[in-house]
Amino acid sequence: MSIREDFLKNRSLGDVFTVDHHTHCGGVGVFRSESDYAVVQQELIRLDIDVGIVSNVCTYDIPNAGNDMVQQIAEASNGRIFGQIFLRAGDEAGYEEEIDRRVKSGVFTGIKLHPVIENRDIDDPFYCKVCGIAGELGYPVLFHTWGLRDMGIIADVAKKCPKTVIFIGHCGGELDASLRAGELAAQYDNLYLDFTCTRGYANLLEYYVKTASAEKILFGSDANWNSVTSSLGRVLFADLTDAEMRLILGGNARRLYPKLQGKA
Amino acid sequence: MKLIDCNTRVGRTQAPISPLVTPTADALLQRMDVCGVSYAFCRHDAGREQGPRDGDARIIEICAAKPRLKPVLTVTPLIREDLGGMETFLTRAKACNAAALRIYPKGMGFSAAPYAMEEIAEIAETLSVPVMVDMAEIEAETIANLAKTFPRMNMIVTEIYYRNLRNLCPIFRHCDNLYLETGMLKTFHSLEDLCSLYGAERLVFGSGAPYQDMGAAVAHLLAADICDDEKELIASGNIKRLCGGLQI
Repeated sequence: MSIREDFLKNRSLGDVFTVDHHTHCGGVGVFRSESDYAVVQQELIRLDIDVGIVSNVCTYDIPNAGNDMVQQIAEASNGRIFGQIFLRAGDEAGYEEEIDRRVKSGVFTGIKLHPVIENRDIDDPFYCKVCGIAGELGYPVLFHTWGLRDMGIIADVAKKCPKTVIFIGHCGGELDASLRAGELAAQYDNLYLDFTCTRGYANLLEYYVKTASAEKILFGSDANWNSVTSSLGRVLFADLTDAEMRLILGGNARRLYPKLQGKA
Repeated sequence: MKLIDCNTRVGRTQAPISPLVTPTADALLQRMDVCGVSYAFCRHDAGREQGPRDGDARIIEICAAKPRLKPVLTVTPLIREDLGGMETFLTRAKACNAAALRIYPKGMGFSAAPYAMEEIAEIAETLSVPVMVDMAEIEAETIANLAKTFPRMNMIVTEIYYRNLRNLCPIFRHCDNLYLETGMLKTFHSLEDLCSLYGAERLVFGSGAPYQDMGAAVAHLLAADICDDEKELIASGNIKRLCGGLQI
């Protein structure tokens, strides 16, 4: 039975190793969403998603409080949830200590940067410094990106930090940016596609596999903002082989996130 | 479970929407097969680009040749000027078994205020079909005014971006004749929350294909954490009811 057939029969992913590498915790002020991450965790379990990776980009007024929340969630999850260290350029003081502290906790496996909410560019000197450290640690960096302009800038950062694995968050968001993101992922060894697409452009995943290969794509949902089931459908109903789906759903995440290596 | 996709389209647009999509009926039907969608309500983009007469003629012809596609006719408030008058339009709509009416107030540059929509409401009621409109085409305020002024006109708001729920929920609470299409309604747990708050009767399955991914819409519904009876309503039961007991 194919992965898609299995999903249609059981409405879950069964034994396919799956990682949702783009989830959030914390409340969202600008639209209605679920603020309790326990509901997201239940959803991951219900759908047989093996691992969730979470960041908190919403707690902006108390530095590092978001990372505290993520750490608590991850520590209580029995290895099902890992964190991304969220760093703000606006809270630059002590960021190296913050990275060190979270790495030592053992439950963080990547870094999340969100230039848009800070009204900065991806190549802000702070983000470049963080990317450099991430490369040394072997931690991938998930950049929120939106729009074609971001694609030009993220390519520059990828060139400057060749040792750092960089995920193009939301594949650039807008369609023209998403198409460009595929070309960039093909061009740069360290650029990967975060297939957490807020907009559900048809045939985009097939385009990515053809342009950049299935090895450059990671599944994510954006829960607690966006739906996990809808995001899964974009992979499961794509015109791909099961081997390609396995890479996208979890195989690539296992290879790229240090805490996931060896997970089955 | 039979799936009826209430929101699909065919036909090229002046400015191509996506280089990844071929907006033909054959491509749409192929995708429906992959996703297990039995029928689709379908509009022709010529209706908006070149006017309703042209678009409607094209979608009627396509659907006549492809029985799994059901025609959605484009209308404007200028029934006499754009569409040959009420009787002519009703005759055409009945002859082709029109499944729904579609309006584009912003795209086609007209007001959807109640004073302009009287005839469309009358047509919708006479034909027992819903009026559909994309969220990007209309203000929430106008939706509320229409739903309140024409309580027997059923409206389906389509292509609802995940940030729109705060706008729509208050209208939804007060207007029983308002329905939401599920395709882009993909805020986390949106189906579960809306079913629990307002009932599954208020949601209709749609995808926004071919530009939006049909597989995402299908998985969103089939794997939702709601009971099978609720899924059946959303998948096909509600749209059949809204179309006067549509037999397909």
